[in-house]
Amino acid sequence: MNNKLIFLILTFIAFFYNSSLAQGSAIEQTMHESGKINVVVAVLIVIFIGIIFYLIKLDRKISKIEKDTKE
Amino acid sequence: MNGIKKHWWKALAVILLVYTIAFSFLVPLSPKISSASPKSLEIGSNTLTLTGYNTGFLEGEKIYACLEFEKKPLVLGENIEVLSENKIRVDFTVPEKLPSKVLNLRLNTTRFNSFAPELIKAYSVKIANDSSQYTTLTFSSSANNFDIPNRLQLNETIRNLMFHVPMWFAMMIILGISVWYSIKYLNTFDIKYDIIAREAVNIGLLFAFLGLITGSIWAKFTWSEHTNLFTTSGWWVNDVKLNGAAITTLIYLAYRILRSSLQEESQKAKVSAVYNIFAFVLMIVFIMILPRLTDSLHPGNGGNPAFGKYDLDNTLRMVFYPAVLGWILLGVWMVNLKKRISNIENTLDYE
Repeated sequence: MNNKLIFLILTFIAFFYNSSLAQGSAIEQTMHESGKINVVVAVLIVIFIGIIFYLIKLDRKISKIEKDTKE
Repeated sequence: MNGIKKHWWKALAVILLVYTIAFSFLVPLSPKISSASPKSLEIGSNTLTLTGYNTGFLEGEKIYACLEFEKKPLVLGENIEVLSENKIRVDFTVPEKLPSKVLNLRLNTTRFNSFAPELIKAYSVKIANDSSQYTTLTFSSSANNFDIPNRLQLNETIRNLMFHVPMWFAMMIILGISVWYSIKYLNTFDIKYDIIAREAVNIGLLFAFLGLITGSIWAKFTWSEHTNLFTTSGWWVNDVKLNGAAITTLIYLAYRILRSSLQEESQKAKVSAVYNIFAFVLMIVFIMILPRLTDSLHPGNGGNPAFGKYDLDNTLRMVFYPAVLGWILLGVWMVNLKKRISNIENTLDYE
């Protein structure tokens, strides 16, 4: 179940990555605007998502321990 | 008091990262002339339209423009007219005899709250094959004041230096911690060292993925541009450092697979500790050594060491080193949290 979900998300990201950022699209244009500052914004968002991903993993681990201690 | 003694480095991580992010967005990019038209100057009178970035020209402001050679002014610009805050028009009367084929264009303005005239940009003027024509070429030079250099192609994305590059520094330090504890485990066979090594690899992988994705985004909008320098396009550039980083990530993913494939706890720890040592050596080879042997798009590769004076200026240095330290400390903090939770989990399993 979990692996299937990850695979689905990855496929979606790969699809989005290629199609919506094609040459001349709106996102591509936004990235080139005002000295390409939006590239920096995108990079920061990616790092933020990475840290959130870590928090989710931590959260799940703690939930598991809580369950174990209750038993 | 005990709390400060124990947790000071976490506070330091937060302070450094706040400083990094604030600096990265508050300090403006240095003013720069990005294009000029026409592209070439001819002997006789010329009218140049200069388009800049962050120049902030003011209507009625005193602007000084001249073509110079070895810092000696040769041709003064006349009838300077401000078209918009990033656009001016200048007239140049180019004489027939000039000492060099390459000249710089210097622009100065006096701003209300600055003591010295501000150097906006050096611009070089080059003679084409035809001796009656001069070709203008951009020449990047950072201003003397406190701002982030505005480099060709990079523009604002130079701020990514504080986010993308420290990901790899943090990854290398964390994987170094991991291999240290793997060696310690092999010496003592104490399972608590194996837990640290395992969690450090996990966090190292997270940083590696963040580094790969952020690098991919950065490269897409800078390296993949149609310039005379590189004619690549897309999210992945065939660069030694990129491929090396990708191989490293795969090696460490294999570490995780190796762990999950073994059943018995002590066997798992021993085999993966030995593998970790080999993986670390390969990581150093793929990221630090191989890219130096061939040309790479990354600065500091192809012979010359990184942090050269051409890649970092003093303003960037003031925030790049704290940024690296901040991200490393954050990574260590993340490893520390996961290690503590794994320790609790481990003791619960034994009970």
